[in-house]
Amino acid sequence: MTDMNRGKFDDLKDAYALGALPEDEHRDFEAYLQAHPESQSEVEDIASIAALLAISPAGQEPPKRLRRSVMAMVNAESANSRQERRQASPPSSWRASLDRLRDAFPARIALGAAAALVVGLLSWNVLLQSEVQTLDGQNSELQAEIEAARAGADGTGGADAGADGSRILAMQAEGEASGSDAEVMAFEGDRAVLVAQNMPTLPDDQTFQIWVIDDGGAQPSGLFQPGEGPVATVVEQSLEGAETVAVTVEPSGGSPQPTTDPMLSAQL
Amino acid sequence: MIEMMADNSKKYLTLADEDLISMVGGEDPDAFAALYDRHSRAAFSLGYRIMGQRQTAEDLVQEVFLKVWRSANSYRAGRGSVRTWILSIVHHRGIDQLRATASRQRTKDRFEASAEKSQPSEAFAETWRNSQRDQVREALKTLPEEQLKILELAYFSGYTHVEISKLMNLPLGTVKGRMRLGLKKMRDYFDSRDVAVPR
Repeated sequence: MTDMNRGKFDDLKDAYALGALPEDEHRDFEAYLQAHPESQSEVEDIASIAALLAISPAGQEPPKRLRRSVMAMVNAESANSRQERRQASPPSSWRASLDRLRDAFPARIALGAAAALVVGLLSWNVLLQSEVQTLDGQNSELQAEIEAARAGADGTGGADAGADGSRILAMQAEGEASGSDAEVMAFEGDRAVLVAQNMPTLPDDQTFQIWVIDDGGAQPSGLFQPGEGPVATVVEQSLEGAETVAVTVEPSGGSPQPTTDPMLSAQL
Repeated sequence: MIEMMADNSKKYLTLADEDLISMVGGEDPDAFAALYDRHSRAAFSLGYRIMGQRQTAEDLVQEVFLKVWRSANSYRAGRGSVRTWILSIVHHRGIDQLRATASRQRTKDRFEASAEKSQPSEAFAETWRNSQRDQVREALKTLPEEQLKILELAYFSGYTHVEISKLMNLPLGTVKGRMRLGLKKMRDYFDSRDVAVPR
C-alpha cells in the first residue's frame, strides 16, 4: 500500500467508478476498500451512476447470425452436460442400492423399500422421457440454425461460403455409411457443427466419434448416436489448421484415438 | 411438440430477468434465449460504442453471452439488475480488449466523432428500457461538454485519468474534478426529478 488514505480515497473514487485508474492506483484503491469495508457502499453508489453510461449509446441491432452462433454453442454445451450427467448415473447404482437394502433390512422392510425404489425408478423414467423430449427440441433448434445458415450460404450464390464466412462441406461416406448423408458446417472461421442423417444403427456398446485431424494427428471431437432424423453435433475441436474431419465407430464413451476406418470424412 | 415449445416460449416471455437467470444457472437454454433476446441489443450497442467496429463488437458480445451462460450462478441480485450485470461484463471485457490492443483506435478523431454519436437524435420507443435510456441521455445532456467528454473517454474508450489529462492537455486535478462533477450532475438529474436511478 502506498500513501492511500481517506483524502486520497475521495480524490480517486470517481475515477475508480469509471474504471479510469491506472493499475497501481487501482490496486491501492481496492486494498483500501478491503481494509475499509464501510466505504464500499459509497463506491457502489457512484459506480451505479457511472454504469448508467452503459445504456446511453445509440441503439445498434445485433446481426441474426450472432444469435444463431451463440445459441448453437449454448445448446451444444447443454446437450453435452446432460449427456455427461446421464453417463455419471448408470442404472447399476439402483441395483447396488437394492442389494445394500436387502442386506441391511429384514424382508418386510426391504419389500417396502423396494416398492419405494420402484416408484423412484418410475419417476426416473418419466424424468428421462422429459429429458429426451428436451434433447429432441434442442436438436430441432440446431437443425433450424443450420438450415438458416445454409440458406444464408446459398443466398450469396457461392457454392459453400455464407455471407458471414460460414462454409458447408459435404462428407464422403464409406462402407456401411454409404447411404448416409452428412455435412460439416463451419462458421466463424474455426467452429463447426456436423449434421448426419440415415446413419446405420449401432449396438448399445458403440458410438460414432468425430475426429479433427491435423499435423498432430486425430483429436477426439465429439460423440453422437444415429437418430431417426438428422442429428446435429457440435465439433468440439477448432478447425483452425485442420486438414480433415472424420467419423469412426468406437466403443461406447469414445476412444482416445480412432480404432476403426473412417465411415465419413471431409477434406477442409 | 410444437405447441408445447410455443407454450414454453410464452412462459419465458412473462418471467422476470432474475427468474430467467436462475433458470439459466440450471442450464435452461430457452431461458437463456429469452435473456439474450431482451438484452442483446443493449449489449451490442454498448459493445459497438466501445469497440467501434461491428465485427469486434460481435465477437465481444458473443464472448459475454457465453460467460452469462456459463457463470449465471455468479449473478448477485443485490449488486444490481441482470441488465446492469450483463452490461458491466461487456464494459469490462471491452475495455480490457481495447487496452490490450497495441494499435488502440482511440484517437482524438474517434473521440470527437463519438461525442456526436452520444447525442440523442431519434424518437424513442415506448418500452421501459428505452425510456430509461431516454432518461440517461437527458441526464447526459445536462452535462457541460467538457465533463461529458471526460466521462466518455474514461468509460467508453478506457483511458485512465492520467492519459486523459495528457490527451486533453489538462492538469490531472482538473480531469478528476470534471469526472466528479459530471457524475454528480447525473445523480442530481435523477434526484431533482425525484426519479429512482435506473438499476
